[in-house]
Amino acid sequence: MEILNYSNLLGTVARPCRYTNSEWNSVRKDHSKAKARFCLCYPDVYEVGMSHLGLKILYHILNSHPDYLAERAFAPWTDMEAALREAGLPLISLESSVPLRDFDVIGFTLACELTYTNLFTMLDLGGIPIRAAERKDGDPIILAGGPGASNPEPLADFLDAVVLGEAEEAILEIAEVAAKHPPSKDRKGLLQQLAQISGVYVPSLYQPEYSDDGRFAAITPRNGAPERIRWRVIEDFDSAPYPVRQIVPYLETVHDRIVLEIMRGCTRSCRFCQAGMIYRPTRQRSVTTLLDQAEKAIAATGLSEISLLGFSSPDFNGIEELIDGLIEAHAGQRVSVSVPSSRTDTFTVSLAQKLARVRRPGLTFAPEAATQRLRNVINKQVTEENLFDALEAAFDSGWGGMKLYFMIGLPTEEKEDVEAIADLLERAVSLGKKKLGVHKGRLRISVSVGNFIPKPHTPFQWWGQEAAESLEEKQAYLRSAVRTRRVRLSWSDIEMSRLEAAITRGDRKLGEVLHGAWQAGARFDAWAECFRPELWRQAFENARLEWKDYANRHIQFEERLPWDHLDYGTTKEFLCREANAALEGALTPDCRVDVCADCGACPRSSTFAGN
Amino acid sequence: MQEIICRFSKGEEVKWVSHLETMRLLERALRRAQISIAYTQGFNPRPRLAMGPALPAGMTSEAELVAFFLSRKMDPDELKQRLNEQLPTGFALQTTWAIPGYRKKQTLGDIDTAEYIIIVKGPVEAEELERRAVGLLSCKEIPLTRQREKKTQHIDLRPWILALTVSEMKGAAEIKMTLRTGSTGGARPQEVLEQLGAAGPEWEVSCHRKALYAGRSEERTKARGVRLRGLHRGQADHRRERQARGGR
Repeated sequence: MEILNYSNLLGTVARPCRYTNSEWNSVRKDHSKAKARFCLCYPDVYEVGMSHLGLKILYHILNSHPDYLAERAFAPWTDMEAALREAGLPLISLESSVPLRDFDVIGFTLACELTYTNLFTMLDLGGIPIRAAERKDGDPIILAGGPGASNPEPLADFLDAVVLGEAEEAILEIAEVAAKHPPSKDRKGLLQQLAQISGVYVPSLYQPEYSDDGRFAAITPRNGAPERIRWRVIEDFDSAPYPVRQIVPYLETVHDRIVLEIMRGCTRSCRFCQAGMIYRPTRQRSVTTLLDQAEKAIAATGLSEISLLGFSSPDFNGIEELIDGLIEAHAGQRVSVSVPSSRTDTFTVSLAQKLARVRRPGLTFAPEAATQRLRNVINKQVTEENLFDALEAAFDSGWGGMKLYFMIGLPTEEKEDVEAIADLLERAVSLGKKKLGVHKGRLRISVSVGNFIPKPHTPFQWWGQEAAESLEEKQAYLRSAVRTRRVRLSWSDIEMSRLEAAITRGDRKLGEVLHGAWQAGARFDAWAECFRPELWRQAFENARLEWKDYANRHIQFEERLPWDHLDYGTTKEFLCREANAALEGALTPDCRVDVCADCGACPRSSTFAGN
Repeated sequence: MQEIICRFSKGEEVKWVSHLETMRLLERALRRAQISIAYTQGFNPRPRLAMGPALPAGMTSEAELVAFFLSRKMDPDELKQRLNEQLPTGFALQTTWAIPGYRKKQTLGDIDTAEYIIIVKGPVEAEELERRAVGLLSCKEIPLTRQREKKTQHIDLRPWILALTVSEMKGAAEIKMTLRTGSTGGARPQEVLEQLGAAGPEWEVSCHRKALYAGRSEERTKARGVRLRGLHRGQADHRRERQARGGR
């Protein structure tokens, strides 16, 4: 085992703290005593990766086990990558400063397709062959998971195994297998064994076929690998492991706070939302458990803010009791509570008022679309009345600013729908001015306008993304139509969204494009200052593939999809049904409070196939 | 309200942790140690603590200073022990002492002098560096321009260099410098190294802050024959060491 350090390089790179270890609560175990050694990686910079709860949970689970160890590594920023290459140094883990190649398993958390190129950088700098087929006995197993791996097909040639769904239990099963069949001796055997674990997908055991026009046609398992891989769900979420001894970074991270996961999953069924589809059913922790976790986490970290994590936190059954309990217990220590919520109603405002006892939180509402028709299409069950009531309540209780989320390019969107955004903002501003009166100078509405990206495993997975030119027109229209300086508009980059749309619905052929773009220098594609679309255009061309065929094509319902063998619980019939309901503007209610929509992901559903 | 001053060290493993990050980690360690720090007023209350002059990132130190304002009285030794249990490897409180009474003026605002020990290894021998140091000290003026974002500032480095010596140490050069620092202006070790021609990619440099103290007030105090608040060179440490020796 090689132990290295970067001490001679750190003076020359930005934010050297990114590469500094020994943070409070980080765990260092003896490599010689561990039966399976994991390096948990996040293919983005430290500040982003350390904000991810999933990584912290797995770190905690593995290190709590006497036989296993887990360390961390993040993508080096471009300056550090250059420095490492020049010095001929490999990428090392933070805790023990060991090169990635010396671990048994490298586990990547993938949250977004635009981090894929950084995964290549990390493997390459870690001394590991990028292509799975080139890895030999002695090389680590490259594992991936997370929402960004829900269609891992574009990365199939580079990953050894993928965990579908929630990994809390599967990670220990993987560790057990890795301990019994160390990759240093029998890599092939280990992969075969991994494929037998429920929820673990080994891409090399599947052979894709393409039709004459080059499009994906089918995929066949080999060597006894299962036909379909079914996602993993933690049934008893209340007692699922939660890391109270979270690492306290030196660097200010994106979410620099204790993240308390109050619930998992969301059954509001917004039709564009992948997270709402692949993390089913909705589960929540008990208030008692959460209060206990919060208290322990504050004592162990000393952080001054708790953020309640859940796709729709105000829907948490007992949210007021929880917030009151947290404030009661910790306001004295000046620990504030925040609820990053995008539910659009007055209840959200009344919760925010409670939270303001320690620190006044920001307010965010996500109507997503500005006309009732379009909101019905995407199944966003919010009325304009809900929104304006919420805004009024917010202004009345002293908020001068808030954030609104909209999307453009949604299925069936017309010119009127975009015009309605401008109109809605105008009315929000005049309401704000009226309500704030003499304080109207404080009025600031931040509006974030995203581009719709069709995601696999959602009812909109068949829908092609709107052409870039048309999205540009819509952005230009809003820019000219919204003139008041009380509104600050921000946009997501169209080329970036197009790339995400292409990769997220991609098949294995896209692997060539990913690798080609990376070789040409694509890094940190989610960062505006690094993203270079021309590299991607070239990479598509070199691979003789059409970018727009992947991003913008409407796929027929009858076509086989590259991710059809990856089963996230919801049946294809349900997704089809939802897609058709969208076109009719028919609503599907939340099954927690209304009838079961028969999605197939939980035992209540008649089409449930078991876990 | 009670003010407690702490002298702490920062080791090799955490030398890249910046001034602001150090402040944040102290806040968190205070909360973990359940020390009742006072808070500022307003919408966004912050713990009341004041840091001494910032240590440039990349330097180790045995002389960093921070003042904590506590809402409940506490024995400085207890604070030291409890906080040390909660500090990450590389940070350690060395000495803590209480400032008698509550002063509106910031106690650490008097800190204006820093001593550094810098080991450099590069293309120029120690002997030559020593000659250059002597030459530098004999200058009446050392004009320098500082570029900060878009502002250009013309300064004279000379009055801020209070002492500068170079000696040979195992094939490298050991540079000791005493520099004026703090809010009324001061020199940075890096600037002095540049003047000596001992900076740049071909140099291996390791910087350590040896001491921080209220140099001007020390001079004034000496003249008046009275001692003040423990912020003079080594004063508090010496007193504690004496006590510790006596105790044994």
